[in-house]
Amino acid sequence: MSAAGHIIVVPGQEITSVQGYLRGHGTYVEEGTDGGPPKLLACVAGVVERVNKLISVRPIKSRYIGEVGDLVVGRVTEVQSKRWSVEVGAHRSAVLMLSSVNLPGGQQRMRTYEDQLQMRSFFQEHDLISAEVQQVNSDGGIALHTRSLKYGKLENGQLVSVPPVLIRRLKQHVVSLPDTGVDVILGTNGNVWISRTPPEEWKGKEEGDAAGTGSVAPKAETLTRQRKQHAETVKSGALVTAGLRGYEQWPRQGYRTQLSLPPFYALRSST
Amino acid sequence: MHRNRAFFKKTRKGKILRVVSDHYLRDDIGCGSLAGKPVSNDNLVQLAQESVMKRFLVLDTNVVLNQMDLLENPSPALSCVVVLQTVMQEARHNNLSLFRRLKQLLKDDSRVFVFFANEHHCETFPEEIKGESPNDRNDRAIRIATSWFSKQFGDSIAVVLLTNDRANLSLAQDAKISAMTIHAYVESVRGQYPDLAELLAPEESSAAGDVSESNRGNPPQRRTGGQRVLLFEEHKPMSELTAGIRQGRYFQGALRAERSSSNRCYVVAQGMQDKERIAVYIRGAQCINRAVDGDIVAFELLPEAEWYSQGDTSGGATKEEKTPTGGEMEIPDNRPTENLVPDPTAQPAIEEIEKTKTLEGAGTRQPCGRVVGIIRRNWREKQYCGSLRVEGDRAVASGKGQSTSALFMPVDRKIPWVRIQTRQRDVLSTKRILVAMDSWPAWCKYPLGHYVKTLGEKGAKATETEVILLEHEIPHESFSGKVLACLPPEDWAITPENSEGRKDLRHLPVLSIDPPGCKDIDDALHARPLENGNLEVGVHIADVTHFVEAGSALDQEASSRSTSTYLVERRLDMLPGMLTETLCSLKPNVDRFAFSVIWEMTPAGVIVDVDFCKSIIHSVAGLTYNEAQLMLDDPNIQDVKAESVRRLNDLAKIFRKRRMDSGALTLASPEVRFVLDSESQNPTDVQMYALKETNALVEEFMLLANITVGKKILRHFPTLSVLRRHPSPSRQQFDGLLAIAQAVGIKLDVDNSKKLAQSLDRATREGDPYFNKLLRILSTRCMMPAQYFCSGEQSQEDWHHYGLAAPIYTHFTSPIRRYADVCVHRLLGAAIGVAPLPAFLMDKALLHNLTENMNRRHRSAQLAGRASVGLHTEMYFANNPTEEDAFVLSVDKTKLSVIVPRFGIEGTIELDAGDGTFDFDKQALKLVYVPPSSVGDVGQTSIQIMDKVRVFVDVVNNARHQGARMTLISPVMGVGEEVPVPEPAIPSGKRQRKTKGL
Amino acid sequence: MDNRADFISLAGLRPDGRRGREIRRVRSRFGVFKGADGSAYLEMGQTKIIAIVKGPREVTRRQDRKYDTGIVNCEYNVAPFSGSERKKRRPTERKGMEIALAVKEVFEGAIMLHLYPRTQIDIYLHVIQSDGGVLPVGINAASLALVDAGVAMSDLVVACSAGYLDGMPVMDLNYVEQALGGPYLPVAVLPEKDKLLLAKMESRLPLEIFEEVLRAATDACQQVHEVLRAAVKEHAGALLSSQI
Repeated sequence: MSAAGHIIVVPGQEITSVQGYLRGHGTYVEEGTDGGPPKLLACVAGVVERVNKLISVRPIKSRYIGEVGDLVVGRVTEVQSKRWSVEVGAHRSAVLMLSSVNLPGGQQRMRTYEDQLQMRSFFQEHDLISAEVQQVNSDGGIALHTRSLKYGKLENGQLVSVPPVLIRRLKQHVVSLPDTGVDVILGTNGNVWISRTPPEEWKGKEEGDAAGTGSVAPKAETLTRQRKQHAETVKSGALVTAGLRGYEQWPRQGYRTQLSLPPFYALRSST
Repeated sequence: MHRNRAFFKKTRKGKILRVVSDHYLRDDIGCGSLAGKPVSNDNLVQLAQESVMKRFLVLDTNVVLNQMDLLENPSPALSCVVVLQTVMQEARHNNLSLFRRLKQLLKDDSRVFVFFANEHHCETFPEEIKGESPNDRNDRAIRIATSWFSKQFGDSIAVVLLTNDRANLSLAQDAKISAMTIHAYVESVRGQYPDLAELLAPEESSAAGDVSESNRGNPPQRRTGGQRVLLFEEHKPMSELTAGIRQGRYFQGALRAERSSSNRCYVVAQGMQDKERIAVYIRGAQCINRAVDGDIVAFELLPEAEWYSQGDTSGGATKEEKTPTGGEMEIPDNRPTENLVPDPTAQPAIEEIEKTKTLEGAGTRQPCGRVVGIIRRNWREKQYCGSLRVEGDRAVASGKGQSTSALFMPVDRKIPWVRIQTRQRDVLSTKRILVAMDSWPAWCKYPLGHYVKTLGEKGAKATETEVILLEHEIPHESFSGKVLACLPPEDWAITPENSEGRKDLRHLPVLSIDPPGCKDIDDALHARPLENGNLEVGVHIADVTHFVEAGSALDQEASSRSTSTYLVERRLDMLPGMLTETLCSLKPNVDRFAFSVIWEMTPAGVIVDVDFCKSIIHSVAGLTYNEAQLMLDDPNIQDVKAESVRRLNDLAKIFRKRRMDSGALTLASPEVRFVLDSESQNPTDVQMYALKETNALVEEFMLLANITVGKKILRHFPTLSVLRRHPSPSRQQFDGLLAIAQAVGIKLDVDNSKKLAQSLDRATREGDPYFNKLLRILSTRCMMPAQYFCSGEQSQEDWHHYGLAAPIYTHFTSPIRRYADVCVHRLLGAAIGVAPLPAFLMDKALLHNLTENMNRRHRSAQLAGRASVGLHTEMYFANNPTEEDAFVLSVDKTKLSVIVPRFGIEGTIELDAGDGTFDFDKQALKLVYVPPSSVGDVGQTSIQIMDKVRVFVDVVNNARHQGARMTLISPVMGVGEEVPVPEPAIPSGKRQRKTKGL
Repeated sequence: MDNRADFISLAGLRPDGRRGREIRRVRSRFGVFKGADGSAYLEMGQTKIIAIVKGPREVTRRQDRKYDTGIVNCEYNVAPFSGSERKKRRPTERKGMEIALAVKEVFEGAIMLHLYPRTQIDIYLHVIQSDGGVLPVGINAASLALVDAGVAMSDLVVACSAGYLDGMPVMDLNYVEQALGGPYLPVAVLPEKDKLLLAKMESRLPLEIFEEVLRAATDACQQVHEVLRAAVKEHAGALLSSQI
């Protein structure tokens, strides 16, 4: 039991034996002994969450569990026939079907064999992409899509990984911080992408950029400036959070498990 | 509470390990435990109040290690003792046998010895101080515990620390802990308990050691300038010894003294050059350097120039150091492994070792060496029997009650004399006493020891028998309560319930044949014709394992004793009398449990089938050898018993012939039987054993049973069977025999046992019936001893029994008196599915120890039996000195050894040429005496090996001889000793009974 | 045999001061290895083991992938400095592989693998210091690491060993006691369900004594379970309070 009144359980511990509850994640049912009522037991260590009749146990640590509509930042691991395997930090790799990406020029047509052969021109192995979870099937497999201009290959930026449990689901996951001139993409799977806010003059060109591949600005200049900013972000998260402070004040607490940067707290949108 | 213990440990191979272990501190120990049960403060206070001394003694390790004999004495001055865990650990580390004795004291309910786990008690655990040596740390732990106890008891009970360590003593006194040395303590209670001082082992510094022998009789020489004169080289420290051994400068081995003197020793070491075993001789007190028979020593080789050549028998012993040999009756045994110190396995004879390997270029010179250090002393475990040396008539004046030193002479010649301090020297001078050795500092001529207890008057039969038993380590205490509790109740009888699974053989005409007066009947036989013309023959052995449960206290005691010991006047049983004489013994006319081996065989002795079963038998007769022989001799006796005996005899003759044809040996030993006076049990006559046909009958069937059972258990337990083997003697072992045979013109073929048997059969001499027997006796002495072994430990070729010419042999037929047979019964029981094999008989390591113990105990029992015979012989001759025929066993330049067949005894006769000379013919083994005034061959007399001579046997006790003595009467060889005129051989009623019968 | 008979002293204590039915001191730490999904460090007496869990994650070898369930792999490593004597062990050493296999099978029975189809869970055990009981301590450490990784298990797996010395059953044997050659019985249980997952013995025992020793082992597991459960709760509490 924690001080805040939450109930902490360990695997095998009985949560309740009263019937009439639905079991959620992190629990399982065991037949009652000696003809007693069936019991609900925890199967992970964590805190009990109850929503009406649904009892579930939120584990203390977990990999990313996908939900439809989540924005995730992941790395392409494989190029297979008609799909990409993307590592998003879930139990399994997510898949990005060829039919789920925007073709250059915004065409809407059936994907042909040539498209299949051209897959690498969209995304290659080790590319970092942002995408949205289209579908989660029953065995936990995640299907992604990048059918929007805001999704696509990510370049010229810095990736920071945090445990996914720290990123709350919000309305807006793509945030711009004007003070430091960086854009932050908060992937729900814990991958956070920090890049330079593209200057106004590039805005128009973006329309032309279909799948969000390729950068538009002269690279050298971008990189130099970006680099400075990246260096600042890497060196001290404080700088970025200082930037965030503009939006909201919230305390940063010490965090005992594995983490290389102080925790980022999910941003509340400015709206 | 938790602590870490981290220390470095050195393994046997010299590797350094770092050991880290947990060490928990507790608060639930109370004040320790007494006989296994925890005690509280109040308990202890009460116990102390009830005691005489009203105090508790805390022992330091040195007191435990050096004064165990004192501590074991149940004097009230030594009640209420606290033994700390620290002290137990140190004792265990130092000396396992003392540790065990201490543990025994702690378990004894009759003493108040409290065990306190001070290392685990949170209040007495000594926290680590950096840089403290382990010894200091332990001393500190002891002091802390002592003062804690003091605080616990408050003023009511005093707590005294007893320590002989000076440093610890002074530190304790500084810390206001009441402490004193054990000597001071014993001194302080001398008024009430004067005997305790006797048991004290001397403090090394105060030993009144002899400085040199020439001062005997004078007060010990004042040391000049406080320096002691070192008589021996100091031993090297252990680190140097191990370094030297590793580098090959020194060698390691167990020191063995030659049979008759502690000044001549040898060490058998692993070969310096190759891996062979080499004997290195160490002679003379300086070279032996205070090592004692049985110690593990480190030695170095002397330069070749100092080596002795073969045959130089007197090397090294100077006149002063020679202990008078005294001609004490030598036990007739030249067997190779005659050692009172138990040997693990048959050690090769000295002569054999001599020929094993000589270093190149050494010719006939034997390697000699010198002891540089002692790795492990053997004397810790032992106490020695013997008596004080009485120096002629010169009584050393000693005030009554004053402690004087005396020299103790152990009966075991291999042990040097020991110097002890005693207040009762006069009283003890005529007694046999037990002494333990403590130390041998380099400035003392003799080792230092202390008195343990008195055994009895010297020369009294009971005392001397006790000495024999102690020296041979024969357990002879009565069976403990725990053991007797394992026996079935007094009214135990055979019922249908407890005889389930047994075959009922009570209808068979089973009979037993044993010596007269035999009460423990192991075996019974039967033979009857079958319908198909074959014979059914059965050997039924007492079913001991039914009554002795594996692993019980009774079983463990029997395992430890391992054999019954037969002394002349009594028998020391392996099992309690209720089993040996009643329940297990196959007495006639009662039902008894047995383990039976039943053969079906043709009348020609060909075995058709064999069956093993547990059975109930009913013996119809318990015959003596005589009675059975009468049945064989007299055809008029016609009954079931006589018929059985005759059938058995016919078969036995067939078997015997079969065995002889395949090479079994018939050997001989000069055993005799004493006729004891019914009241005093003193020997009044001696007779030779005469073996009859019926002896051979029983023997044949026992052998057959043993061989059959051996094969059976081997088939079922190929690696766990307890068998008996007899290794073939090597060629060298026969050399002495062959030399003798050649000298008397006999040709012996020793290639294998069959040829030896045949050539022995042919070897006779006209008119001399004893000649053949003598030759057989000499052959017996060439043999290696037979031994028990576990079949998994030896390869199959080594299982052979040379003497019986059998490939497999075991002992099955005497479980009442031999533990090997008990094991074989269990193996056979498991083989036929009657009972599972107990776990400990499946453990190879335990089996190895078990067989070693059996061999050792068997040997000790044999030697003790012979020693008892020797004792009775001596007693007989003390009362009846006689002149007898004797035969010469060996001849030398100056002496000969003879055997008197009538009594089965041997002796050595020293010859003195006087003014004449002796000529020794080595080839013919003949000694010729040339009188001073003779010319040519006139007047010469000679003695050749195996000649018959006349000797006079009596018992004397003077400076030169102690014990039985033989003097040569004829032929006259030189100057003889004065002997009383032998009485004319008038037959007195008892003396000249014809040696017929047993 | 005499030398072995000193292991229960006259005060009823074992050489390290414990009584027969006392387990060694247990200390644990979670999250000692940052690069993994879950990790734990466990000390029982002087045996110290680090367990690292990676997964559930995509199966690396296509042929091992199971469509309806996850698979468990275990690797067992002993540091050369872990014993009294420095000794490098080959990775394919038989004893290590036996332990790895035993751990794998234990957790296959405890982890709810049907929740993680087509994935694998890797358990890595590193023995830092060994003083007897590496199998039970390894299992316990792996159990803690799996909890730290948030892997669903039907119960906390708890293991401990028991033996029989000087006529009495003893719990949680250290190396010296284990090396005596007497009976040594490590067991792993699901404590809340009172189910046995593993029992391993290589000596001969009469049946009655075996039952005594088995009971001692399962009792020992209950003792360990109390300690580990408290540790898990504390860790969970600390983590959760930092997340809120």
